[in-house]
Amino acid sequence: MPKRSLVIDLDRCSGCDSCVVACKFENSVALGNYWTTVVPVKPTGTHPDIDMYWVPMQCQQCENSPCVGACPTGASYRDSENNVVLINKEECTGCKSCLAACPYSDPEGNQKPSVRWFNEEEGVTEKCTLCNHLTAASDGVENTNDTSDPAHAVPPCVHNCSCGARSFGDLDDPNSAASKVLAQAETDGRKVCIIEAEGVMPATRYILSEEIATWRGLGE
Amino acid sequence: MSKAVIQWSVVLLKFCAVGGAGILGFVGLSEFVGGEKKRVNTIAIVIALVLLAAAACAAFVRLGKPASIMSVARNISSGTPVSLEFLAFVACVIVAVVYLFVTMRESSTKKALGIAAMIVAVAVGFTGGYSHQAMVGMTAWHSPAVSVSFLLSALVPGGFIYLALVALFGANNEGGSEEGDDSVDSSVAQTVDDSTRKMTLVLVGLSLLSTVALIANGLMVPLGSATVLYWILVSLVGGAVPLASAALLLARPLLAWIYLGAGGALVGAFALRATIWLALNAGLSKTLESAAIIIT
Ligand code: SF4
Ligand code: SF4
Ligand code: SF4
Repeated sequence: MPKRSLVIDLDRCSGCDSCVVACKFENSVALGNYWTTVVPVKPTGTHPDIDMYWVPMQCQQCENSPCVGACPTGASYRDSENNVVLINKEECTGCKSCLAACPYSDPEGNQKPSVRWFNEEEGVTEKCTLCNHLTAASDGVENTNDTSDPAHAVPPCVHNCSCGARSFGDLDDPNSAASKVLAQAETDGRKVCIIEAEGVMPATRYILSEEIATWRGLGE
Repeated sequence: MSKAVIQWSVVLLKFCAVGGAGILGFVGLSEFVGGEKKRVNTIAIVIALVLLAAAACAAFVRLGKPASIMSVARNISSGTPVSLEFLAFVACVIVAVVYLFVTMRESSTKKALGIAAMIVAVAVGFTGGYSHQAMVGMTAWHSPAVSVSFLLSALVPGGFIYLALVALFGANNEGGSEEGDDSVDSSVAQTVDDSTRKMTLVLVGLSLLSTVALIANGLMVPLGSATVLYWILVSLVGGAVPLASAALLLARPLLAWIYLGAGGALVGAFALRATIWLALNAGLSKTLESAAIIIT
């Protein structure tokens, strides 16, 4: 079963919000909604030993995906080809059950922090799709000569990340961009972290070096 | 801190569904305690079906458009917690309809149908809570105590309503009770035959379990702004009052105890399903706070 996901290097993330803008532009995300946000984990310590980092948050592509189990209509589902958790907006009744089920979301889907958002105008729930419309068959190793090459396309949040912090790919494919970045991080002795919540087993991976900061998830 | 907006159609849907299922469960139980119950069972199943129909209406209001109802129907075999809830509901309606036809036609004991009725009653009660429990994003919902409380609080009101129907329309009371008939020496007392007594005993047991479950649920889950309402309306009115009523009923068969127990159990069942929405503001940040894990 493919485990497609984003891998985000927090050593590199500067909290610039380029991914937020790229995502909104690509997916026409409604005003006030964000399929990806950048959560600042506030500084601790005293100057000059400040400990802080940013965590870009979007659907964590949970292996147990409680959002899928909560949806009465099957609108929240897994792609039968590549296992990505998606929403079929045609089938969505706007009942918000998935918002209650997702441990990373606001129950009304209208305030941060949240990975699922409620589109008031359309009356449906939305979230990060891993840009499956572009990347469904991609290994995440971008072809810089042809960024629309379906075998190597990356989500716009990855392409436009100003610090090269984001990678994408199937974690079960050692040749995917995401797997290569993770393997290198482990070789370098950097920490690979997840934001676990209630056993949902998120696929999204975060990399953080102890020299930069001590991993505290999303902080207090 | 984030908070959900209460969805009244869901509260009503679950309340009516468990009301109907609970009554049906006791109709099923009546097959095993003896006594002539044709008339009272027919009335009880009709009332259960009316409640199940009301639940279906609330579900339609929640889903909004016919296409969504078709989507739900298509999704029923997905095995997800919410599809199990719908499956249990549909099974309950089918059993109730079949039970009604068979009961109207023959007076003999229908043990197989009785078992089916008890199974669907338990299934509707449990899955109504389990679909909440499966929502891991809600700290106050994500506990087995929620499912158990939902189950037991479904059966108790059903039991009291069934006993009320026995008192009013049972074999020993064909004419129905007359006004002011709530004294121990009225016709109501005559209805407390051996079979009714056995059912009352079951109700005492269920009320006891329900009270324990409701108290445990109140202690286990973060109730937030719902704390006071929960302890008064759910644990006290919905737990202790029916328990006391059932015990008193066993000691002294007054119709008043049945009414008191039914009223308390119904208020408690409704309040449990409503207050659970108010208890959500514990949620998101707390979930995430303790969840930072380093995997390598
Ligand atoms: S992060 Fe939320 S929306 Fe994404 S798969 Fe997990 S539960 Fe579903
Ligand atoms: S809001 Fe839409 S996607 Fe979410 S559970 Fe309801 S129908 Fe499914
Ligand atoms: S993968 Fe696509 S949908 Fe998801 S955050 Fe990036 S740009 Fe947005």
